Amino acid sequence: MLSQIKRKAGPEKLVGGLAIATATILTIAGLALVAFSYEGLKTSAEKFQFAASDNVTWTIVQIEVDYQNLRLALSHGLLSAERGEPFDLNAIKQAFDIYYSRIDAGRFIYGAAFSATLDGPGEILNQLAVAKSDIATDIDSWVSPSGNDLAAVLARVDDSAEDVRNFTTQALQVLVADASVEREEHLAILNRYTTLLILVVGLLVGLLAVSWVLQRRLKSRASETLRIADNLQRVIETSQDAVVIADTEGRILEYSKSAEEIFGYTAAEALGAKMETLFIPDRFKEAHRKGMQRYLETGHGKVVNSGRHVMQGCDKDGREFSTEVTIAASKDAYNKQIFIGIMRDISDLIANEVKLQKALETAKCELSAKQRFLAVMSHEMRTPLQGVLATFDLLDDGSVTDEQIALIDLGKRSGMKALDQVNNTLELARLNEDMPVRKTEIINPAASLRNLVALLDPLLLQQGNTIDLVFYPDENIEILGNKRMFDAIFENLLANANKFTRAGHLGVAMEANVRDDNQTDLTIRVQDNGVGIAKEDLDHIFEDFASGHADSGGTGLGLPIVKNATEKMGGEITVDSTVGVGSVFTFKCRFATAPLQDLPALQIEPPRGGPQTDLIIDKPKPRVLVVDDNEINCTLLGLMIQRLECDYECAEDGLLAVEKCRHQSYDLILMDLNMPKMNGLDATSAILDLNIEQGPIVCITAQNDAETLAAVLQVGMTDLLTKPIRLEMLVELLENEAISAPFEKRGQLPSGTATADHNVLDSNTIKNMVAEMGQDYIESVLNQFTLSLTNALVQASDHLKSGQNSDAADVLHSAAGSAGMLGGITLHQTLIGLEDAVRRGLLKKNHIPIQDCHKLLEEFLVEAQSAVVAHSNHSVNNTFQTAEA
Amino acid sequence: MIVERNHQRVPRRMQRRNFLMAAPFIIIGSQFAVAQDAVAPPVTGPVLLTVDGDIATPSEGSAAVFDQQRLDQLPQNEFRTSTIWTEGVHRFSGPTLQGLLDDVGAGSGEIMATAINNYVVDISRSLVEPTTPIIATRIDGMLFSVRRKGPLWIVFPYDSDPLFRSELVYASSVWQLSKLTVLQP
Repeated sequence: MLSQIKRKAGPEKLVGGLAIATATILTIAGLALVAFSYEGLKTSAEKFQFAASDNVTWTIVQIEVDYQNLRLALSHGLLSAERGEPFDLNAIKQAFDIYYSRIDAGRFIYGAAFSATLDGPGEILNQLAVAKSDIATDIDSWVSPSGNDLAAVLARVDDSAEDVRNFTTQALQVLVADASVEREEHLAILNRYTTLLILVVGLLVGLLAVSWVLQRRLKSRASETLRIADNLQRVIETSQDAVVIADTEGRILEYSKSAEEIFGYTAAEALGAKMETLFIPDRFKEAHRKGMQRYLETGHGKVVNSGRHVMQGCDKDGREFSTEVTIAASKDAYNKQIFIGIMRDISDLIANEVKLQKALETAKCELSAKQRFLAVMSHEMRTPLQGVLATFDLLDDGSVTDEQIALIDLGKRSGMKALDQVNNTLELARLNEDMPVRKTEIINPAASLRNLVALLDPLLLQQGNTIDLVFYPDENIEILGNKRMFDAIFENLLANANKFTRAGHLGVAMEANVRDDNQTDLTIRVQDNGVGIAKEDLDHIFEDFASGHADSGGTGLGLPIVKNATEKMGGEITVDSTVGVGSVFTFKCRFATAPLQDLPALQIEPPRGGPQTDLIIDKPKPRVLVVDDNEINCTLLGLMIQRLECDYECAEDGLLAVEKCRHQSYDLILMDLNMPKMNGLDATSAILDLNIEQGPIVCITAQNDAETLAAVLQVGMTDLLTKPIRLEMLVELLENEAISAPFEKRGQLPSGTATADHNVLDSNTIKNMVAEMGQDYIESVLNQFTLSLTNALVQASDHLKSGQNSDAADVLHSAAGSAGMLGGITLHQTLIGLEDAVRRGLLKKNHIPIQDCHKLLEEFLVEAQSAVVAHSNHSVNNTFQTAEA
Repeated sequence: MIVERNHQRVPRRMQRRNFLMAAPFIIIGSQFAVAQDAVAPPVTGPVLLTVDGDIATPSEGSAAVFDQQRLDQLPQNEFRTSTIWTEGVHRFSGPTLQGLLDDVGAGSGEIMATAINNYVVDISRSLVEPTTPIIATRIDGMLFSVRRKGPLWIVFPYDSDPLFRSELVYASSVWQLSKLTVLQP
């Protein structure tokens, strides 16, 4: 509607302009005409002003009259003379004089009237003049004329009679013509006047028409404008926002209904008042004035014509509230500057937003509180768990009965499970935190996977599964990423796949695509042909604490950890599964390609000691200082240390530790971090400041993150062990630090300790397995084991031949593990020994005694079979339910 | 335009002027007339002009007669002008008509002028001003004969004012003047 009018305005202006232009042209034309005609009219008018000549008609007629009078006078005189009577000579002379003067006057007058003196009458006059002059000569010579003299003159006068007559008639014609000419001239002048008059009148009419048209337009425009104004008024009145119009001084010119409602002032109160007085709180008044000033001076303002702004306003009661304001600058009908302000009370809006914000924060807080609670709880649980596990370790010192061993195993397994749960919870909590640990290291995915698979071996054996690894295009891929997370993902995936598959097959396929932009796309598929996952469960498997079946065992946290860790790395994890057929988990992620330089791997290959070798270093018993405020920890660690043929001392806080170190040098200091009086970091600094040489200070703590490690290393400690501390870890530590190497253990193989125990078979293991899984299963497992061991021995030999000692050792280690799982103690020990020897390059002739091994294997199998038979007769109901197919 | 003999339309302006200007002269004139009454010298030369009608001081019978001498004794005026009957500019001189009228103690009525050839015209008193017209007795200082429209010619100073160049004035410019008759008002 408004745009329509705006569009019309243009052509309207044009028409108006045209009208005025036309009027102007007409006026100018009229004036020009008048100016042009003026001279002509003036001349014509002047003609009327005065007579150019005397009455010509009278003169013409008088010539004949005076002529006749002369003839008459002469005739009278002659008659008297003939009668002999006296005559009046003066009368005759006078008559002639009159005629004479008439002719002269006539010539002059006629010539003046009709400038063409050579026309007919003019000529005749000239002749008459000549004649009269001749006669004058005669008359002037008279003294006393006789009758004859009179007659002669009369005769001469008579000669002119025809001329006189002709002159009269012709002159008359000339007069007539002239008169008509003159009449025509007059007519012409009249016509000119009339024409001019008509033109002027026409001009007036034209102007009138134009003004009428303009007036009509004006009227319609006025009514249009009125209508628009009316509509706008209505729009303003119905608007829910306050509409206020003010002038440059801030005085309110217009005030809408909504403004009344929002601000409380009535229109009567508001109109004419200053905006700042009514709407703006005191403390903002100055700023408002300044802003207005600035706009008026520069034509630019921060608030004017710059969209919406939130400001504080106040209403009649003095209540302050937030308003959303838009101010536009414009001109009113008289081209004066005005400001149009539209305001909305948004205090409710803001209050709601604040509430929302608070609610969100509360929710976040609660969530993080929940997670922290979990973490704290789990952390707190670790410490007693350490105690539990350590205790079991210590109990298992070789002087236990079979029954006790079984119990210990059970205890250890339960403890491990609990620990698993705690670790996973902590892992998940860590992953859920906003600031994840971003430790970027070089990862060799193939190697990691291989490692994980190796670690999985015993579990695979347990379930009777096989596994294969495929790398495409090859294994030589190195990426940058968080190794811990990477390992966590696949450890969980593999464990899961294994758990839910029985006597089946697992497949791990890695596909790497090294891109041009220094990134690598990694796709890893973990496949199994196990029980599969129901469609309705597929969506939930990644949720925390959701496990396929209530009794399937496990923490239910494995897959959530996988998902979290994957997403933290920027990848995605998907699953495809069919019940009864199997599942495949696909991991996809893009990593940065590791640079080509050979960086030293952060993993340290710990050298191994072994019972079959002579590498037992003969030293005086090493002294170890344990610094921990927890008495139990101290005691347990101490016992472990004693077990390892070392002496120990305890200190329950940092201060005591420093004190002890002043007087004594220790071969190893195990330092806890959180202690009263002085914490581990400070104590370490203090100890190192002492001038007494001490052995390495190793941190023992439940915290296993980058910051702690960094802090620990920075302060001067050499290593960090994570609680719960296991015997193996201490062994490793002591070996690492070349303190002692009484035993060799590696990883967390839940095998029995290897002292001079030459039992071929740990019958308890078999017994348990039968109880758990059933005879058939055991036999299948044993078959698998046979196969795998045979293969392993061959593989190891091959590796040795190609000089890959470490690969060979890995294989042997894996095999040893499997043997251990099944209770083949001797086999286990032998394989471990071999592994060790291979690692140290001490293997005799660099040759694996395959045949010997096979012999041992056969021995084991025989014993195992009999055990199976023996125990399956006592088979107890499965307390351990396997996952149903 | 044909001049009407007996009824002449008078420009209003002239009427007013005449009235204002004439007043003192009428008084003086009448005084003069009274004076003249006592000492009217006899006419010796040929009578050129006869004035009769409503006059106060006739010199012969009911008329006042003037010869050249007497005319020359009246208040004179002269002016240079061209006329529609003559070639070029000439100097006309002679007694003022008003002076003459005053001399004879004329009444306020119109003046009927008669020429030798019996041309008659009524001259409106509004045309008569103190200094114009004159009864020209000399052209360029010389007397002029009947043949040259003399001996007396009522002449107006045509060149000096466009108002003198009207048919009415031309009709009142009587040449070969012989008689003036003051009509009753």
